[in-house]
Formats: sequence, structure tokens, C-alpha cells
Amino acid sequence: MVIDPRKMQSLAARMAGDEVPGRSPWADARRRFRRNKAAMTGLAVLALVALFALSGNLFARWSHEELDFSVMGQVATAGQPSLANGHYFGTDDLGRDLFARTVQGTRISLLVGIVGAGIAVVAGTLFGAIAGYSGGRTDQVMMRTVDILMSIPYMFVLILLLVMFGRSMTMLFLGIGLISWLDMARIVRGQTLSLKNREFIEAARVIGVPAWRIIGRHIVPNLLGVVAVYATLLVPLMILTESFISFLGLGVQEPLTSWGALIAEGAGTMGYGTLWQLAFPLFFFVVTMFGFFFVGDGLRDALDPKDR
Amino acid sequence: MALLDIRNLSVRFKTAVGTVQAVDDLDLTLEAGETLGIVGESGSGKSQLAFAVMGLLARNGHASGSVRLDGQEILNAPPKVLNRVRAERIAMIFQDPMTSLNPYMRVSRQMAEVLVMHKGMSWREAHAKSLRMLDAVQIPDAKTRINHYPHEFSGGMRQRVMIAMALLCGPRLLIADEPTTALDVTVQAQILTLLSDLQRDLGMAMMLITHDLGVVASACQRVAVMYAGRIRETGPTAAIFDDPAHPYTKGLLSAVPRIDASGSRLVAIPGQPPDMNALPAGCAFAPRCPSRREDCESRRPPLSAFAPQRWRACHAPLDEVRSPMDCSPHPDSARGPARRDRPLLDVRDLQVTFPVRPKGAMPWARPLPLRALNGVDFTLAPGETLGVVGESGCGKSTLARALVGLVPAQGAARWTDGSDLVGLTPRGMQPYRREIQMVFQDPLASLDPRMTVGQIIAEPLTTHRPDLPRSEVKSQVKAMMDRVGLLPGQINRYPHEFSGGQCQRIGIARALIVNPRLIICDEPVSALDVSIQAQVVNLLTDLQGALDLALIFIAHDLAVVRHISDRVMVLYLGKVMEIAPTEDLYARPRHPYTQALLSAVPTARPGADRIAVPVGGELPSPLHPPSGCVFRTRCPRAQPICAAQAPGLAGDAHRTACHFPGPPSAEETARAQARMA
Repeated sequence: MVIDPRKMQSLAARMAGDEVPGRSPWADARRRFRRNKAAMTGLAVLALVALFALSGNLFARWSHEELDFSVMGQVATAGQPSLANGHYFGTDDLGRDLFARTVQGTRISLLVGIVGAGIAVVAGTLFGAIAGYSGGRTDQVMMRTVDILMSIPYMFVLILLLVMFGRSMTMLFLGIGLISWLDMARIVRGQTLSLKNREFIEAARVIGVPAWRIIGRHIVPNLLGVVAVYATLLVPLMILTESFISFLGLGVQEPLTSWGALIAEGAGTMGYGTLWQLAFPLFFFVVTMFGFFFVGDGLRDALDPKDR
Repeated sequence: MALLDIRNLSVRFKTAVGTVQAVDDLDLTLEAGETLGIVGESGSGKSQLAFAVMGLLARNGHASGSVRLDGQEILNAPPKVLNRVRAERIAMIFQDPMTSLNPYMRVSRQMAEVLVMHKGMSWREAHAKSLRMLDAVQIPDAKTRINHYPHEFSGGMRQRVMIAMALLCGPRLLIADEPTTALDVTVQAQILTLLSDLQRDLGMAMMLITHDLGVVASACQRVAVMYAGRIRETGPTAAIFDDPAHPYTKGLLSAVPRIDASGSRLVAIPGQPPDMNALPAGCAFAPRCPSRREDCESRRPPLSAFAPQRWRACHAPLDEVRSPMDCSPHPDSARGPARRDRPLLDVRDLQVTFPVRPKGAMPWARPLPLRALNGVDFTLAPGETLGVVGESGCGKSTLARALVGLVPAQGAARWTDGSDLVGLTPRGMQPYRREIQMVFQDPLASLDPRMTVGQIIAEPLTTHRPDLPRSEVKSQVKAMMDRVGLLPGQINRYPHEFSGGQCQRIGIARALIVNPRLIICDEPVSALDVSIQAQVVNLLTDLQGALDLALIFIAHDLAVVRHISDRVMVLYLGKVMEIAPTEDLYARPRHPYTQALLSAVPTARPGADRIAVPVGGELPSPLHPPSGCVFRTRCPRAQPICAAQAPGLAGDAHRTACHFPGPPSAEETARAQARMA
């Protein structure tokens, strides 16, 4: 074959040409998200709450378990929020510093929410993607398992677990983790079924890409949008579940606390003129819920612009 | 006075990325009773023109200028006025009849509602009139069909219902926006005949918007060619086709593969359609124009008359445009002797069956077998191109998917080394995946949106050659990108940053990178515009010649198939009707179905005389195929034996599955034409 030197040179020039950076779908989504004011506000609020949980103790003059004997017995008057005695949020019924306890409760609640959602994301995505992609009998067996687990009244089981094995953080995480991934698995399976018949998945099959790599490289990255949206909505759901359990008195153990436990205590003493005991934990709780919902909404709009 | 008089019409859309100028200072007139074809590629603004006239622009759109109907200004008129104008004086039909009919309403009610609203008829009168209209659009058994829901109609029948509905109030003007694009050729021919008959009988004007030059040639008296929101040329159909006076028209015409001629390379229009966000100051076609001159980049050419009835918008002198196009000589389309001793692929009695649960059956009922492929035989020589044609539902995509193992099949498909590809385990199939690659129909959907072009093209390589170092993979990917006409520097871009034609090039690069011996193309160009289609077809032909590739080229467009194939196979309801060398099949089709298909294709040459044996009816349900010969229900030659016995494929090089093969008799042609008229 005769090689045309001129052609070869131009080829070399084209090969050496600068590589243009691409604009990934994620970058597009980020841009759309940044333009969404409500979502950005939600994100800022969540960042502030997280900052509060992480660094709040630096400002606390009391620890969350110390009793302030000077206010004990006269909480309604001496235990009011005040900068002078260091109880910025006042004290609880026993004279413990509510600021430190709210910091502590925020930590636990956020942890429960994030860990619970994290378990759901990992387990649910993998389970759903595998079931949906495999199809046939595997899918049937896997999804019927989910159906059976879902048909068990989970709150009842969770309460039984906590009662039988004692109240502990591990048990709480385990219980919440066990139930949280079921919905996620269903959603992910549905999405996988529709992705599976898309041409680019067929193209990968024709190429001969092994099934596990199709799931890992093609299905999961294309599911992440839905998963991210659902995860942000799942976090508040987990927090709510934990709060409910703690409200029933089965959640975290004293002297640790959580939003649910704090709100329960505050609600119990509402009638004695110590409204701050309810107001501060409730404020953080509500603000965080709104934050997550706005962020979730913004993510959905950003990741799926066609659905608007 | 003209029926419709459009002056200085501009349509702009405000979008997140800027203002899109969809229609740009456009003038157009339409006389009463006239048929005007508006041709343009996607994004040329032809649909937005129609929407603007109808007052149906999307909310972020704004139209300016003037549109007069019988002297009355209707552009941006108040909704009350527009509501009277629409349906009563202008009616519109759309591409997809399913989305424009309410799925939860019986056809009778939807149709009668129009009359009750606009003409103040009683429901009973309206029903009777609707029934007459359905009869007029030749819906068989209209009396019972009128009480059905839209989903109970087939695509062609639904489009007939839409037409009937549009014509209920006797409009003066019918705007048809791609009315046949979603339909098969045989059905398309029926609808076009129906439209022109109705138009003649009712004396209305019609504006036919389409990307298909063949449709325009067969249905319109006058044509306007649009590009980038402007009319580039307008004139009588015959004149435009015989003597195009604008370089774009000329390019379009030569880019269309012709069904009545074979051979030479398609003349593609180079480059891509312009970005409608930022139109150049001069002529928008200039960057792709062979007759470009300095003026073109600074000044937009006005639409001016150069002969009676003819206008064009071009700075280039007429003689230069008219001079024969410089066709780069193709290294001979006869691609060497394809036949060699040993076939690359030998397919025998290939069958694909899908279990389908009939509508309304209980979940535990036994599913019925839907035979998507029912005994297909063919061989493919190395380096040969086999075209596969047929209407939708004939099993051509199933054939592709069965050969690459995407759907389970029965029968045999022997590869050249003697092993049977059918029934191989996924592991056993793996070595052959390198040899057989596939190019898909939808260029964008076949590329993973979350991967860069480099990752996409490299995927077959990293799958089959995991030992290759990354730098080697990258340089091979870049070389392949260059080969298919993509800039290697764009290796880090994502699919959504490319146009349809470029995405198809990426798909082709992905298929080629492991040096396969067979590429199966499933409708590779049907989602592309004509000018881009020519580029892709040329690319495939060139690569095939250079790499000694065998191709199975599946398409519903018979002209493209003729252009690219050595041999052509015609499928109908999962069976081979006819398989023959291309020239032989197109010149002397023996099967009545092939003859019907060929005569249904509108050519981009008005008045072309070809054998005309149009076929009525539509594809029977593959769940309950006819006994004996599957085509007999639509066949003009059907005899009792056709119902009793299925004909086998007979013949040597030119094989036909018909009890009565041969050219159509004169009587048959006359009868078929009489039936259509």
C-alpha cells in the first residue's frame, strides 16, 4: 500500500489536536440545580443544620448529660433560655442543658437518616437492578421476597425487635435498615426494566459485555438520578421513623437523645409553661424536613428536565 | 386574491439557551384548491410555520408578520376568532394520529363533538354526518367502527379517522404535517391517494408538510423548499425536480437514493444543519454550499422571481447552480465478486416465537405463540451486502436481534467455521460477538448518555481485549473516530453534544473497532435527514469496500436498500417472499408483494412511470396469520390453492415463494388501479 505522506501528516495533526472537554449530563444537572432557588436554599439550610450538629458542642457550656442543680425544681422560671447562665435553649425538665441536648439529638437523627437511607440506596439499588436485569424466575423470586417482607407490619416488628433485644443504636440501625430498602428495590427494578430495553443496553449485550458489567457500567449510572431523588426523600422518612420510635420511648437510650425523644419530652411538659423545650427541637426537625424535601424536588427537576 | 397569504412571518422561541429563530421572515401564498408541498429537513421550521398559521405555537413562541386567510388577518388573532377559523376554515392533521385522538373517547363522540360545537348540529345529525365522512375516507364497515376507541384502529385507519375528522366542517385549507411519516409505504400510498382524491372532490387547498421528496413529487402541484426557517426555492413541482435552481434543492435531490436507478455514490451535502440559536448574518446554507461566494456570508439573498412562477433565494448565478454537479467518481460501485465458495453465514429455517397472552385472557391461560420469524433461509457471502426490506411487523428487526442472540431462536445459523450460532450459550457466543456487530436505528438511544464518546467506542475493545494497555485503546479509538469522520479531539464529549448523523458515526465506530466480519444494520439511516442519510450511507459503503465487511442492511426504505445492497430479501409476516440479486429484484420482481411494495414507493421524480400494482388492506395480525400463503389476504392473484398450501422458496439465484410468480398481467394492473381509484 502506498502511503501518501501528505495524508499521514494531516492525520498526525488531527490526532494530536486538542481534546475538547465534554459537558457531562451530571454537569448539566448541577447547572440546573444551582438555578433552582428553593433547592439551593434547602441545601444551605441543611448545611447549617449539619454544621450545628458538628460544631455546636464547641459553643456549649454544658454537656448533654450534666444536671444544672441551680435550675432544678424551678425549670419554668430559672431554666428559661438565657445567655447569662449558658443555657442558650434553656434546660429540660431535669435541668439538663437543652442546647447540648439538641446538638446531640441532631447528630443522632441525622445519623439515623443518612445511615438508613445509605443502606436503602446500596442494598435497594443492587437488589432491584439485579432482579430487573435478570428477569424471569430470578426476578420473580427476588421480588416476591420483597413483597412478603413488605406485607409484614414493619413498625410492629421494629418495636418487637427493640423490646426483645433491648434498646440500642445498633438495633435501631438494623431495624430501620431492614425495612428501608424495600421501596427502593421496587423503584429501581421498575426503572431497570424500562432501561433494559433501551438500545444502548442492547448494544452492550451485542458487544458481549458481561451481565455484571452491564449492571455496573450502564444500568446503575443511569439509575442514579432516580436513586438520588428518592434517597433525599428517604432521609426525612428515616428521621421520621426514628422520631416516632423515640416518641414511643423505644428509640435511643438516655442520656443520648434524638429529635423524636426531645420533642416527646417537650410535648409532655408543654402545659407547664416550658414551651421552649418543644420549640427548639421541633424547629430543627421541621427545618431539616423542609430542607430535604426542597433538595429532593430540585434534584428531580435537575436530573429529569423532560418531566417538567 | 390568494386563499392564504403569509407575509414576513417570523417565529421566535425563547429558550434557556437563547432565542431560536424557527421561521425567518417568510413569504408564501396558497391559492384556493391548490396543493403546496413544503419540504425541509428536521429543524427547518416547516412545522412551526404550520403551527403559527394555526395559532398553535408553544407558549414560549412568538409569531410576527401577517397571515391572511381570505383577506382576514388571523395571525395572533384572539382565541375566539381562531377557534372559528380552525376546524371550520383551516383543518390540520398530524404525524401521529394516536396522540391527537382522545384515547378515552369513542370515535363517534369525538367526531360528532366537532359538528355540535361548530355547526350547532344535534348529536343525532352529527353522528350521521360523521358516519358519512368515515365512509368517504374508505373505512370498511364504518357503521360498527365508528363506535370503537382509537386504539382499536391500526395506524393507517387512525390516520383516516383523523382526516375524516379534519374534513367534517368542510375546511377551505387542510394542513397536513408529515401525515404519512409514521406509516408503511403501502399504507402511505393509500393515504396519499385518499388525500388527493378528497381534495379534488371537495375543492380545498392543501399544504403538505414533509421531509420526503418522494411524497411531494407524487402529491403536490407546487413545492416550497425550506432551510433554516426560510424558503429557499419555490415553483411548480416538475420544474423544481427537473431543474433545481438553488444549491440546497439540488443537493437534496441528489442525496435521495433513487428507487428507479442504482449504482453511483450518493452526493451528500457536507456538514451539519445550522444552529438555530445563532444563525449567520448571511445565507444560512452558505457553510454547506458548493456555489458559495463572498456575498453569501454578509448578505441574506432575497427570494426573487427568475422565471414565471419560480422564485429562488440565492446569490450564485443561475447557470452555475444549473451546471451538472461535480460527482466525485466513485471507485466503482460494483464491489468485486461477492460470491465465494464458502458462505460467511448460512441461515436455515430460522424461527423466533414470542409467547403472547391474548387480550382479555386470564393470567393462567396458555400464551399464544407469536411467530415473528417463521422459517427464514438465506446465505451471506463474505463482503456481501444483503438488504432486508418489509413493512413494520414483518420480522426484519427480529431477524437482526435473533442473529446477534438478543432474542432466542430456533433453527440454524451456521457461521463460516461450521458452528451454529443459534442456541449457543452466552459464553460460547462470546468469540463470535467480535465477528458480528450491530448498528442500531436510533443513533442517540443506542449510546449510553452517561459515558463519553471515547468510553463508548472503546467498550468492545476493553471487553474483548482486556489485555490492551489504556494508551493503545485510546489511540485506536482516536484512529477509528478519524476514520468515520469524527474529530478525534472530541473523544471526551458526551453523546448529547452530537447531532443525529454524528451519533450514528459513533455507533458505526463502536461496531468497527474490533474488526468484525459482519455488521448488522437495523434501520441505520431511517432516523436521519436526507442529506445526513447520504453521508452515513456513503460512509458505510466506503468502509465496507475498504475492510471487506459483510453487511445485513435492514430498512423500510426500498430506495436506500437498492442503493447499497448486492442482494435483497423481502420479508412478510416472518417469511421470505422473495430473495434475489438487487438489479434483478428491482427490475423484474416476481412476487406480487414485492411488486406492490415497489409500486407504493413515491419517487422523487414526478410523473415517473413504473409498474403500478398498489395493494389494499393492511398487515394481518401475526398472532393469527392466514393459512397457506401469508400474503394471500392482500394478494391480487390469490387462488384456492394459496389458502391450502404455503408456497416454498423456488428458483436458483432469484428465489420466490409464490404459487403464481411472474410480472403482473395487464388485467391485474388495471384491476388494482380501478380498486384504488
